[in-house]
Amino acid sequence: MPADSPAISVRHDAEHAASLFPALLLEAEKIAQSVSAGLHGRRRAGPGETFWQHRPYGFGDPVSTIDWRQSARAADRLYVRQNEWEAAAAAYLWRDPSRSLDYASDRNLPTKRRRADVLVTALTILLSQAGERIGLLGEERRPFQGRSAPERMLEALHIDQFLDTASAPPLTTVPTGARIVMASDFFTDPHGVEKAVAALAGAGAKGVLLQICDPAEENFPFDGRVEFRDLESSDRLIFGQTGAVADAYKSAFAAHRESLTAIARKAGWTFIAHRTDKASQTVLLSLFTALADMRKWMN
Amino acid sequence: MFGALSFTSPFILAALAALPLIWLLLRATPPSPKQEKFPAFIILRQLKTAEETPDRTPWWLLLMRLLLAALVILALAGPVLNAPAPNPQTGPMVVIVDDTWAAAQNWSARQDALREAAAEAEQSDRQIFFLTTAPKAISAQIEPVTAETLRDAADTVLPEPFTADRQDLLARLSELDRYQETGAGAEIRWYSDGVAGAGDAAFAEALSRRGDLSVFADRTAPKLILRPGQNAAGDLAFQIERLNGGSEYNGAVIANARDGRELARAEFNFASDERFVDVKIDLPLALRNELATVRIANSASAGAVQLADARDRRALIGLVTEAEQQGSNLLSGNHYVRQALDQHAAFLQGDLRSILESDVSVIVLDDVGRLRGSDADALAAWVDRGGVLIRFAGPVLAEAAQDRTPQLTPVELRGGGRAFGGALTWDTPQKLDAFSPESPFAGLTPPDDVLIRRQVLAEPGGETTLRTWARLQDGTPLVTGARQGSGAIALFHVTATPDWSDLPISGLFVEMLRRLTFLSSLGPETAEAGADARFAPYRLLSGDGRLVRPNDSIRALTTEQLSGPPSPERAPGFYGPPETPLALNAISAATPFAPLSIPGMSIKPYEAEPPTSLAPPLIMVALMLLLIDGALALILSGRLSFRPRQATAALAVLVCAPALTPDAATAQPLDPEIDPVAAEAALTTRLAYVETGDPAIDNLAAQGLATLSRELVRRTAIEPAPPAAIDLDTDDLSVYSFLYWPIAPGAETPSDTALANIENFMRFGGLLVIDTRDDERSVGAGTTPEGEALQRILAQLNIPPLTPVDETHVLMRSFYLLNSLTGRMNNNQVWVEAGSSGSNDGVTSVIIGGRDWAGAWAADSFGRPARPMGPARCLDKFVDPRQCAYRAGINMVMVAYTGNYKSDQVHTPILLERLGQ
Repeated sequence: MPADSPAISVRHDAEHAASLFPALLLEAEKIAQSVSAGLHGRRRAGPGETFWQHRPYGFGDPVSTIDWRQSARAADRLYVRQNEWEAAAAAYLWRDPSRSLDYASDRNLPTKRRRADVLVTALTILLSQAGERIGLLGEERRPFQGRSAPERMLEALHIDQFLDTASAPPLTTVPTGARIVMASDFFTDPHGVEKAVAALAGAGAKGVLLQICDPAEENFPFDGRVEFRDLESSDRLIFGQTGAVADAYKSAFAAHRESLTAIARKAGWTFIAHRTDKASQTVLLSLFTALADMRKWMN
Repeated sequence: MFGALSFTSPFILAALAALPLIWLLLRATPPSPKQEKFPAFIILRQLKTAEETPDRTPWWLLLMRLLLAALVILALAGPVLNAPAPNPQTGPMVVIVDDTWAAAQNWSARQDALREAAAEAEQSDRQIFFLTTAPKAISAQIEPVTAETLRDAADTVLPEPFTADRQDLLARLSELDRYQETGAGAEIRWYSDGVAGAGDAAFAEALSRRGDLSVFADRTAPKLILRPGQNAAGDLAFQIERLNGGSEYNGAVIANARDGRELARAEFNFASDERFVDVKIDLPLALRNELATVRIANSASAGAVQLADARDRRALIGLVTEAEQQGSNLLSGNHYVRQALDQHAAFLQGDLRSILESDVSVIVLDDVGRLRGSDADALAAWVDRGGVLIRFAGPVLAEAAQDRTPQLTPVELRGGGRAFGGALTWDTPQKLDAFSPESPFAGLTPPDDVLIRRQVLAEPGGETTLRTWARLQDGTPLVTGARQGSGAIALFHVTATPDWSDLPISGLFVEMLRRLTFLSSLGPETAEAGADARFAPYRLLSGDGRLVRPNDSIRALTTEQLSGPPSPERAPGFYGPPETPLALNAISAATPFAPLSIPGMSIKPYEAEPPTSLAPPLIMVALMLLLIDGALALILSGRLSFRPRQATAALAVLVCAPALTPDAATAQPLDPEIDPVAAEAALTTRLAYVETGDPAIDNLAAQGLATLSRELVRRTAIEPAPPAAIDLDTDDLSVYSFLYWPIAPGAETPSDTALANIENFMRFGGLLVIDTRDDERSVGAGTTPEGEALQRILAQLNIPPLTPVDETHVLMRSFYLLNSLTGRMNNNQVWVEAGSSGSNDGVTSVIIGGRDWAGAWAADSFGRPARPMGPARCLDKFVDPRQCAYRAGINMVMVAYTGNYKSDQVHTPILLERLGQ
């Protein structure tokens, strides 16, 4: 295939990506469905589309808001129709585009990237069902909204492309009250993460750090003489006795995770660790509840 | 199986000392690491500070690599099994060869050994003595020879047909001692024939005293000899003996005639460890008398050949018996004759008439007095032709002689008889006198213990004296005989039973009767001569069992000399005239034949194990270890994942791959070969015509069909290949559909095969177009020669009922709409099979006409017509008549290929008419 021809290459990539969509979307929808039971409205009147309550007409209410039919039932009262407040806040998602996510220690496990894509898309489905606007952190375009949001999110994710330079979350700001979800393995300098989180938190955003790990990264099940190869930098490291350094690795891994937790705690964010050999529903639920809690907390 | 192991370059083995070094080196070098992708690299970087201790190579891998190195070193050192040991000897070399018939079977081993010895001796420049053990006419002096001579000896010295005479050589061994060098330092090689002889131990001892003796003998080649068997009556019996027991062995004995024909072959079979086997060859008497040699197949040795002596040839002797004499016993004369000649003749019993009609050479009449006139004449005529009549006297003959001498006796007889030694006789029983040299019994010695007690007397006289072949001491005849014509008549003046004399129970009787049988010119040609007759050698037996022309050194021998054991002066072979040779065999029943064994001496085989280089298998194993090592290294470093199932599958493929290669021997097709002409005709559509033998007619038919084929290609979907000429007798008609048969004037009726061929052709759907080409000429009732020929043919041919073709026939509709099958001439009817005949769906199988269609169609390659067209009437009168002829031809071919498919076109004119309305 003449992959060097840009038009063909782009088209091929697009087709490839499109072919990935349905499967991924289906998977995301499936787990989203299992979570969506129990969504609530905001239980207060406000701008929205669903009926909330009738209220006696008060001074200052625009005449146009009077529900004449309801008012006609009563002899001397005027009622104003109020809808439930649905002014959705925007949720900004970020999924690590770097190559380090493209890893699965076992052929039966999904790559971390895949799991992240599925989770992000499922979250998009859930949020869009809740009428929220969903944006992609660091993207210039406006947040998506409505029924087509999952597809557009998927498109924006560029699930078939890697961007190794952006392994740390981008330093951007978001509108006040936005909620952030960062899905990554965070195998990067915690300072970069801290900076990004701090910038966002400074803008009043609340969020979740979702660390997706492979079991092998957590357990370090290697033995003997092993040469390790970095996926991003193609650096190599040779360990003569990997078995001997397993404990050291585990403690270093725990320390790294602790530093991430600390970053989250400091910003008032939530840190969620997820392993690809665990069910994705569980983490989606906890993600969603974490976001819901923030909303409660915000309002 | 494992002989001496040696190395061509042993110094390389010193490299084995470096193995511990390799061990250390391998231990120091860690195995190449496993390759793992790992994203959590930022954490690994923190660990890098920890000290890295290299992983150890597993001990078994280390061991395998050491083994690999050791194997390579061993292979490079060049290990060789059974390598010839260098000969350190420098003293003289004494080579002794048993050049006997027993060695002939495997003579090439001796030749190789001699050449090898010559090469060795030449290399170290040693004194060589070359001795042979077979007896020679003149024993050569023992003196040193050059290596060149020894090498030549491998080719020039041939096995002799004698048994080794080691005693003689032993006696001459002292000549060796004249050469000072042949002290104890000599190397003596005795290439023996493996057969024990007299004084072997002493011989070996004498040799050992003079040097370092090594004895060689055949170990693998089967050594067989053929002995004359204990000759049971009437059979050619032989005994085959083999030197050593050993495993089962099958072979055959072949009997050859004088002219080399194979007369008979008898299989023999040695059971395991069996040394003797008896073989019988059954031959009819006539063939048996032609026998020259009997030899063991594939056994090139004089010991495996028996020469047939002409003296062993057998005559067919007729014994005239009367009916009541059947079941004869000791009282019957015939019994004694039979006993005497049983080894040398075959017998036929019956009445005189039937015996005369058979091809007997000798007839015995025991005490027959009078013969009937016709019998006597027949018998006399037979004797004239060459038969030998042997008569015995007896009471009947004596009685008959009372009146007058019976016919067919050599001498006049006196009546009655003469008895000796009885109570009332004066004479004592008589002994035999010496035989006269002129008589057939010349040379025989009369024994002392044969007494004659009675005899029939002959009339004394000159004739009697002349014709007396054997006489008693008193001069009276015992046997009288006379040559008559080519044959002879002999009369024993005594009975064939021991009543009158002891002769029938003496050995002399046998010899006398044998000699008499040889008188017959009807019987086998046989050699027999006096004691001092000499026989020149005719063919001599070589050591390897061939018959060769004698050289001048062999002198003529007497029969007595011929009966002795063979010696250089009496070489085995055939002596005497080629037709009746006397045989002197290399092997007699008494020839000793036992394996050579010398106490305290190990006997080496000629066939040494060939040196085997062990380097290739070692390298192979090393290579395989290298492959395994590579695979293991890949597995250990994680670059090759080991899955047992896949590995097993790969291994199975490797193991089975050679078995899956296609076998060259595939099954042969059972169907008979198809005639290539028929095969080609079956593959392409062709029109065919019958060859008449008249070139003009055949050419026109070929041209006509070729043009029609072109028109078919141009106009229709039928695209025939060039037409085929058919020979009705031989060609397969089943591959053709359209057969054009021009009838030549005076054509002969085809053979039955051809007619059957044509009938089959018509029955199975072919269209036969018979064209007499006489349309114009056959006017009225007149018949043309072609018409007559056709009538003759049709009289033989099974032709369906015919009907004139009309305008509604399918032939007029099958492609073009026609009103007639236009040819060059269009006067008379064209006949087709009547529609109701029912075969082939009513499609006509024959068209008979005289319109010369081929002539109408024929055109050369430029399209120029070969024959002018006559006037023709087509449906469309503006069309060229020749086009009408093509249309008729195309319609015929269409009918031949499509049958009645277009018969509904018959209605087309009506349909067209209706459409028009």
